[in-house]
Amino acid sequence: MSRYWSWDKIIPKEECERIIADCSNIEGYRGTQEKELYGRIFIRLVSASNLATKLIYGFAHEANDAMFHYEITGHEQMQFVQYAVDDRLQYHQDLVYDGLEVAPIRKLSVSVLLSDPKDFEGGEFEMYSGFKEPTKPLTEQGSVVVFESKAYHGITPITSGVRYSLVLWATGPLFK
Amino acid sequence: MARYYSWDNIISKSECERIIDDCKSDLGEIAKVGDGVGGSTVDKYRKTNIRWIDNDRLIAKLIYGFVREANDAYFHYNITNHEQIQLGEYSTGGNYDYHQDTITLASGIESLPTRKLSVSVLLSDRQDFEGGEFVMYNGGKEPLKPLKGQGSIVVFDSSDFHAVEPVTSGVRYSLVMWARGPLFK
Repeated sequence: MSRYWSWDKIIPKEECERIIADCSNIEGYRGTQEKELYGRIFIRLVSASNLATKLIYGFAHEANDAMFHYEITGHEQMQFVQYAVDDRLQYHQDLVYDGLEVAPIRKLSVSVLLSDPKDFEGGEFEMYSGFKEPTKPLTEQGSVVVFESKAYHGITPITSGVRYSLVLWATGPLFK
Repeated sequence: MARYYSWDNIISKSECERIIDDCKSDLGEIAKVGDGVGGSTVDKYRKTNIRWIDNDRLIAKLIYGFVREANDAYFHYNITNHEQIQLGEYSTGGNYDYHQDTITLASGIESLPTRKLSVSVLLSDRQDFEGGEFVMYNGGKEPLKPLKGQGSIVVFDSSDFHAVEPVTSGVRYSLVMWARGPLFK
């Protein structure tokens, strides 16, 4: 089972729209993985002093207090991510275990769906579950999901419209 | 990318065969995949004969030694004990689809003590079976194949998805064990 902690529609529509409008002013860049074969998104980095960052970090800790109980000591800069038509992210891990990591490592990932699902098609957040169907914990506007950074997850290709989301990684010392 | 620690052909052919002979006379029932809360089973995803091996057998100490060595060298987790070692017999048609070894309760909390490291040992000679590859999930990329030949050992995170591909001919024997400890911090 892919472990996650989630809230449905916890952030009101107006607040989602305010965050989208606010963050859309930030200069961004296109992020790609493996020459767009595996991923293609548009990223804007949100300041640590932005209240939205504090809010999402609060969600990460609330989930950690309730379920994961990891030692969390900080977070990386939050990303405001825009998925336009054909953008996607194949299954990937946010924490890549390739041997000798150096602390702080990403321990928990937070993903927030800011857009109304009526405003885009495709773009489903999926968590890999082996021989079981992928889990889809993020289907409503203003929903928040916190999951282990080493869990494989992805976003299916956008077929129409635009999808906005926030992602943040809570970090800490190596797992023991 | 899943990370693992492995040894290629570290247990000799004759020792592998001795272990198989020693254990296989008493193979158990067809293994069932649990749903994590002790309920239903899903046969299509796993078809393996298994036998639990007593902890006082030398083979259990040997395999636990390999796990601890991998942990000392690489993982550095807090490990406090291990579960019983299990011999798996994958006959033609045998398989185990992609799964995690961790056991998550309905509450979302891991069972205690939690499985942290899994070890898999290939006991059979590759000439004696076809298919049956041990594979580790690697996103959309080619799966990793860390078990090279007879007597090879791989230690990996119990939460990493892995599988044994269907055996298309012959019989494949392997050992598995789980090292446990307090919840990850």
